[in-house]
Formats: sequence, structure tokens, C-alpha cells
Amino acid sequence: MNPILFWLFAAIAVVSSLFVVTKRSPMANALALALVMTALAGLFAGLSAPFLFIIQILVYTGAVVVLIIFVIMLLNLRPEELKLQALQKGKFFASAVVALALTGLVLRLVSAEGSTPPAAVPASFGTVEAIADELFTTYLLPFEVVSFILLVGIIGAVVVAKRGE
Amino acid sequence: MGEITTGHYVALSVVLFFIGSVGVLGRKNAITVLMSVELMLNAVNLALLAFSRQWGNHAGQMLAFFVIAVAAVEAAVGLAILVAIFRLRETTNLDDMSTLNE
Repeated sequence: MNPILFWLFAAIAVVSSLFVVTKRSPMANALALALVMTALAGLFAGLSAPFLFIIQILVYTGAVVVLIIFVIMLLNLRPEELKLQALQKGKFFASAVVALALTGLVLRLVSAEGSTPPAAVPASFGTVEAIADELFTTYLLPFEVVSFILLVGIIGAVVVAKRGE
Repeated sequence: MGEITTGHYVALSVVLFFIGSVGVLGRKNAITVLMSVELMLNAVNLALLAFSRQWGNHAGQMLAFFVIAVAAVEAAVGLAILVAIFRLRETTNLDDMSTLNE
């Protein structure tokens, strides 16, 4: 992947994910999340995964984030409620310090030095055709299980969110 | 700026994962916590795709595909539960949802 594009997408992803966890308004969080998802889709495209690039935009930016925004507007939170939910300073900083320490530790393990750019892959790698080939042969059972999970999820969401009598 | 290696992608994935974990642990708004979980799942997907590319093997992409499918279900059910709780309690504050540990 072009280094400039990588750093651009990485910067967008990191900055907007910081907005996701620090901004007070849920709506600002959701819009920042859409930006993270889109930047990640760009990175997926650079990783020879055109199929997942499309799926990421369709499912995450198009469906999950929009669903979250729907729910935020549906709940109609009052400003004083949101003020109550401002960052809990102590808890937030404690988890931030722990996360920072763990990030440092893991980054030492996966430091970019010494790893080489991956070898070239055939042009068909990650295309819809190649993914479909594997999905409907090797991964047929997980595929069917996931479609069942989706069905259960649809019914479950309707039942749970339905207004009771 | 040198060439971009698999290590760069994995490092970015680690950073995003822990940013998401701060949101899960430190925030009180249930919707934001749900969004942070989605962020963590996406960070893992990035690592999966980076390793998939490194080994020229589709297994990582397949796993990422299934993660996306299950994450979509999780978001739908999670938000449905939030709507149900909001009807009952008029709040999305996680600290007010502590009936089970009282």
C-alpha cells in the first residue's frame, strides 16, 4: 500500500476513534465512528481485500452506524441527562492509563522493525469471486450458521424492542 | 516514510483496540459503550486482514467476514435491549442499570 495513503487513513482512524471515546454527545460519537469505519475500509482496500472493503462500507457505515443514529434520535436524550453522563474522570483516566501501558507492551511485541512488506499476491486475491469460492465450499457450514444467527438476531431485536402490553 | 509492512497494520490495530477498550471501561453512556465495542471488533478485523495478506491465505478474510456479520447482529440486539431499558428506566446511564449487583 502507498505509505502516504496508509498514514492518511491511519491518522483519520486514530483521531476519529479518539473522538468516539471522548466526545460527550452520542451523536458526535456515532459520526466519528462512521469516519473510523470508512478509514478502515480504505485500509482494507490496501490489503488486497476488495470484497471486505465493500462489505465494511455497506454493513458498518451503511447499516450499523445508521442504526445507532436511529436509536440515538429515537431515545431523544435530554441535555441534562447527557451532562450527567459526562466523562467519569477517575474511571476514564484509570482505564486510559491501563490501556496506554498495555498498548506500549503489545507494540513492543509487534514493532514494525524487522517485518518485511508481504509478498505479492495474485490479482484475484480477496475478490468477490475468490471469496465466494471459499465461502460456498470450505466455509459452507459457518456460512449457514451465520445466516441462522442473523435470523435469530432479527427476531430477537423485534421481540426485545417491541412495546409490551 | 519507508514501506508499509504487516507490522504497521498490526500496530495500528493494537492502538485502535485499546482506544476502544478505554471507551468500554471509562464511559457511562450505554450507546457509546456499544460503539466502542464495535471499534474494538473492527481493530481485530484489521489485524486479521493484515495477516491474511501476509500469508496470501483467505482464511483471515473469511473470519473477518463472519466477525462483521456477528457484530451487526450484536449491534441490532444490543440497541434493542437499550431501547427496552430506556422505556423502563428513562436512562442510558450504565450506572443506573445496576439492579443485579444491589
